[in-house]
Amino acid sequence: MERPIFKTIGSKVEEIDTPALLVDLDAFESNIQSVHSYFQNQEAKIRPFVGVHRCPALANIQMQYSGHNGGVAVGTVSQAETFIANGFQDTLITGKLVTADKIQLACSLAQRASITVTVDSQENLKDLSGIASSRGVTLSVLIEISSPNGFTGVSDSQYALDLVKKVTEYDGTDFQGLILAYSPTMSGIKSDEVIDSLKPLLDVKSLIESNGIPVNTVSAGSTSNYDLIAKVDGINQVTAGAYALMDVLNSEYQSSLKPAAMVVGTVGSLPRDGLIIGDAGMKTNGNDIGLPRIMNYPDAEIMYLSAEHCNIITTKVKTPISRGDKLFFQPYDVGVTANLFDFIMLIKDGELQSILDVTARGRYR
Amino acid sequence: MDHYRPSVGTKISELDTPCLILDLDALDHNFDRMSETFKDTKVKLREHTKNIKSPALAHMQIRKGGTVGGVCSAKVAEAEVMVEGGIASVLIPNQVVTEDKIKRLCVLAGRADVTVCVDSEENVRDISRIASNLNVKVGIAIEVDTNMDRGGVRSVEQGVHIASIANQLSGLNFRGVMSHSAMFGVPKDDEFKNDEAIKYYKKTVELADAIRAKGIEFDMVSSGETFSYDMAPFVDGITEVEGGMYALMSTMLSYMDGHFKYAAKILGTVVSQPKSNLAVGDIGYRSIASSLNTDDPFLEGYDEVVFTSMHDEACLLTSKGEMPLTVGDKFMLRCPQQDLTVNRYDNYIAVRNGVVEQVISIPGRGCHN
Repeated sequence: MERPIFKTIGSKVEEIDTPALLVDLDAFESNIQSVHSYFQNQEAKIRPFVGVHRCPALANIQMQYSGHNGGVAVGTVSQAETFIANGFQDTLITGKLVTADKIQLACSLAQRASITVTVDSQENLKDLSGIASSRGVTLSVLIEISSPNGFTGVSDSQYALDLVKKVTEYDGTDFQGLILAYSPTMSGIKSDEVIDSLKPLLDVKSLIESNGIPVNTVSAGSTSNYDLIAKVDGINQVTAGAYALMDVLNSEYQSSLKPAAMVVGTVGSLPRDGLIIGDAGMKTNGNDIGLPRIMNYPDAEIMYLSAEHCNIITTKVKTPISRGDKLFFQPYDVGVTANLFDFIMLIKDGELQSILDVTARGRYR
Repeated sequence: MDHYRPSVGTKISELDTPCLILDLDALDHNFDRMSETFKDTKVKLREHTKNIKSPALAHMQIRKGGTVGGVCSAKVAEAEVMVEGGIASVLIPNQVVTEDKIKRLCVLAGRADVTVCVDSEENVRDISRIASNLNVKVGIAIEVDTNMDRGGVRSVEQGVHIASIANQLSGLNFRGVMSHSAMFGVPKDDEFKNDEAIKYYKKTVELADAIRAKGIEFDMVSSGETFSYDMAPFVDGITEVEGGMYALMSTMLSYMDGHFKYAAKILGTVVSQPKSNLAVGDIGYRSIASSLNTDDPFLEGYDEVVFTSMHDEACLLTSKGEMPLTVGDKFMLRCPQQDLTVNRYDNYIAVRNGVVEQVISIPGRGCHN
């Protein structure tokens, strides 16, 4: 577990023991205000994907801003366990539950909360229904429809219809609607591609409705495209997560949202002209799909990250840098970075406001 | 935090996933290999715990023999975990520069043999001042850069200068010289690898010799990595090797798999089969660390199936013909850079002969500070 030196509330941000994950409360709330107010005027509502930050305290702040549909989304059943234990009553689990252990846990949770699962096969549906009915609970089901860059989901509309009919027939499952398979945010995606990717989802919706079965929920989208998708007729739920904290990956699409999450590191060595070494490497920034951005020295350049260090080229930096100075990084993918820390240092006006637990960190199951 | 601790005797096929598997036979092999290499040589192993993050595993290697009786830990917090876990000697091959962290280092030095690496006079003076105030002695080693262009002095003169100061100041115990080196990419052959290893060792010894020539005495010349471990006995003057990745192995070191076995793996489950030649697993780049510097994870045991790509919480496996894995089946991935992945888990599920033998905590997880 992380072992930071805990500083007293009111300490300056520069005094915080490093490396640490900071969240700027004003930027965080500004992002929530901006995105949630957009949904206040749409038929579609946001269901915050809180599996991105894994922190119930942050999720509670998100839910104080209207524009959501009352529920949250997470990636795994063990994350759902954490959020339900922290009072979240309506939870969508986007990852597939195929093992008996996971289905049993979802059923235990369904005894005291509303659990929605995603399904793309008849075999899985049978398992879910069998266990849920034997436990005397009901799981809400979204049938997952495949997307251009997604891995899972149904691509045959007739198969989807058959699956929906089975959900309605079986005990222990309740047909809730459809969800587009998760498609990761990638650089250079155009607006018309986003809209086109919804066609299979909306076609299946029409097919099901033409068979007299109501489709209550039609879910799609993410931070990069929430504003486009929320306006599409027929979509009534967007599961976005990164919007609240933001990262380099999503700033290409949502440049008005503010960087609220930062990793702070300390310069530990200045071994030669034009090179500084910091204490924040891959184990605190993550380097899984991209490099972080150095916020306080925009002219500095990351040479490379190793596990525990960052090598930074400073030849173009005008201001002098000393041993002990701080480095502020915007994560490339905030979902990766938040999963590396056990604590979030909540900052307001440059001072430590409180220390939050990243309770669902490491809950991959 | 994840609290998954399955019962002893649980079959691998019954484990919930994703989870971090520790193959105890492979681990024993790797620890034995090191102990046999260094049992009868002057140079000894100082295992790097940034890879294992568990005092329990560090003790296993120390009990096998061939070690200095201590470890190397990347950060002060990780060193604390090791000392609390009963390790008597810790080298921190890194700079500790802030006032409060130096204080924490000093407190630890009051309880165990603790050495930290420096590359500047200013840092040495800070540590001396704080250690003197707290009435402890902190071990000091000079870090010399070999090939990483990271921390460390860039010249023998600079190293000798800092050593002379460290040797005189109160609150310090001058211990010697430390270097770290890396093999970037895959070496073209063993000869090249071994030549590189010897080159970096000699650079470290060069500084040690120059400091000794000033009449300063010390006992530590610490260097080396998994890729260079077996060359250390051939270089006079090296006293200890800081191998770490050897214990659990990574595919980025696949050129060393004749020496060491893959002991850490991520177990996953197939959750969807969108086409007959595809399988989607529940392991993504949150549960198996990836990086821009390494290849994809490697799927074990299926020659005809390749790891194709991953999202944050899912991966895609592709088969040349019919996919042999079906929904609910388990599969194991070898880590590209294992220490990044261990850092994301709270427990090792330690297995032997296909069943859980033990669950071992990873208290060093997240000890970045």
